[in-house]
Amino acid sequence: MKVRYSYLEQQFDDVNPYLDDIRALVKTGDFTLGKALTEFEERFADLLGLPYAIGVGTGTDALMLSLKILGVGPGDDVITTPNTFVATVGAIAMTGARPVFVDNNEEYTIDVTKIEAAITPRTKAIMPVHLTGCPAQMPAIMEIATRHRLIVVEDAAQAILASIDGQSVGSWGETAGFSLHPLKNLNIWGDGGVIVTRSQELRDKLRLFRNHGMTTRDEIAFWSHNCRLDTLQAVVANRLLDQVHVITDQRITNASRYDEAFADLSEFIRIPPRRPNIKQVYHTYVLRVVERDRLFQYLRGNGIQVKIHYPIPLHLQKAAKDLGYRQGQFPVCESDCQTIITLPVHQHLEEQHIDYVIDNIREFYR
Amino acid sequence: MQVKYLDLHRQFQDPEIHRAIARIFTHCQFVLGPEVAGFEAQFAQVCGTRWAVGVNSATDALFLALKALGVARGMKSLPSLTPSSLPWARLSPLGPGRGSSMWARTTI
Repeated sequence: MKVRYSYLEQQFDDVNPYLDDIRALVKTGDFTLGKALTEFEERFADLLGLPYAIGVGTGTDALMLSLKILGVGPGDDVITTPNTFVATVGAIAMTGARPVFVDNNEEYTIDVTKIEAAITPRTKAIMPVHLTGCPAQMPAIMEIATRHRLIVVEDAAQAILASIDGQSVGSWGETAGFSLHPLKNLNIWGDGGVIVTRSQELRDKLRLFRNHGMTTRDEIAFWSHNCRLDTLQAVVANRLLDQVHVITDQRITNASRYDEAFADLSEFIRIPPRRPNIKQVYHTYVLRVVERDRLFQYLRGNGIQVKIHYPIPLHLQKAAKDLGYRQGQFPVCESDCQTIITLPVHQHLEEQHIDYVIDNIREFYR
Repeated sequence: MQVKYLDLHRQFQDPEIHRAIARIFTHCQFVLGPEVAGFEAQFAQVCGTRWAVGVNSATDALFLALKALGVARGMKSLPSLTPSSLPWARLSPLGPGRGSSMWARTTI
C-alpha cells in the first residue's frame, strides 16, 4: 500500500467547477483586485470572526507587510522561534529588522517562559508561530507584549481555523499572516496569503501597501510593493472556502486516530500535549520518536511518505551566519530536529491508510 | 460602435491556453514546476538573454534585481553575486543557456 503525503491530484480530481468559475472571471477581464478578491476577503474575515482580511501575494508577504506597516525595520529586533518554516525569519529579515530566537516548547511553539530573557531595548515585536496548526500560547504572549509595549504579529500560515478557548488564531496580535500555499489546509493553485486585523486603519493602509501605494489610478500616497492576491486565485479560494471546515475536521479526526493508537507506545513515541481548550488543525502531524532516522527509512521503504518539518534549525542555517548563533543555544529545537517525524494526515487519507501507518510503526518498535 | 481599451476576454478564448491550464492538473505542481521552467526558457530566448527568472510581478522583478545587485540599504542577506556564481548557472536542469526554476524550489 502507498500512503502519499500530497493529495492534490485527488483533491482536484474534478477541476471543472473551478474552471467554470475561472471562465466566468475571464469574461470580466477583471484580473487584478476586483469583485472576486473582495468576496474572498469578506468571507475569510467572517470565517475567523474578524472584521478585516487583506489578500496578498504570499504568506511571506502577509508577515513582511504586517511588520513594515507597524513600523518594524532596520535597528529593530523581532523575537520568534528557530523551529519554523524559513518564511517567518525571511519576512523579518526582509524588513531590515533582526530576528532573535527563543527556543520552543513541547507543542513546537515558542516557549513563553524564555521570551522575557530575550527582550532588550531593541526589541520591537514578537512573531509567535502557530506551527503544525497548534496555536502558540497567545494569552501569555499578549501579557508579555503588553507589559513591554511590543507589537505582536502572529504567523498563522499553518493554522487556519485553529483557536484557543474558541477564539481564533489571528485575532490576538495587531495582525496575523495566513498562507494559501498548495499544501495548506485552505490551498489555492499557487502562492497566496492573507493578513487579518481588527484595525480599520491598518486595513486601509495595507490595501494601499499591497498595491503600489496607489490611492487612485493616478495618485500615489507612498512608495510601496506590489503583492496582491491574484484574482484568479481568489476565485479558486472562494470555492475552497466552502470546504475548509470539512477539510479541517477530517484532519482532526485523522490526528485523533493516530493519537489513540500511539498512546501506549510512550516508550518510543512522544505525542505533544493536547490541551483541551486548544483547537489544533493539523497542517502537519508531528511526533517525537526514538530512532527517527531508521523509522523514517522503514516507513518510506513501505510506501509511506513521511517527512521532517524541519531537519535543520534556522539559527544553524548558512543564512543565519551573521546573527552569531551557535549549536547548543536552543536545545529543545536542536533535539527536535533529530527526533521529529511528520506522518501524512491529509483529508484524503482513508482509515485503511492510517491503520497501515499505525501498523507499520507498531511493527517497527515491536 | 464601441472601441474597447482592452479585450482580455477575446484574447483568452484561445483553446490552447485552456488545454495548457488543464495539463497542470496532471501533476498538480502549482508552485514553480515544468511550466515555469519552460516559460523562463522561452522568455529568455525571446529576449535573447541567457537567463530568465519568473517572479510575482514586474515590481518584484525590478526590486529583486536591485537587491541582488547589492543596491538596497543594509542588504546583507544576499551575497554579492557575480554571474558565474549564480546558483542557476550550475543547477539548470535544462542545460547551459536556458532558464531554470531551481533557484528556489518550494519546500513542502
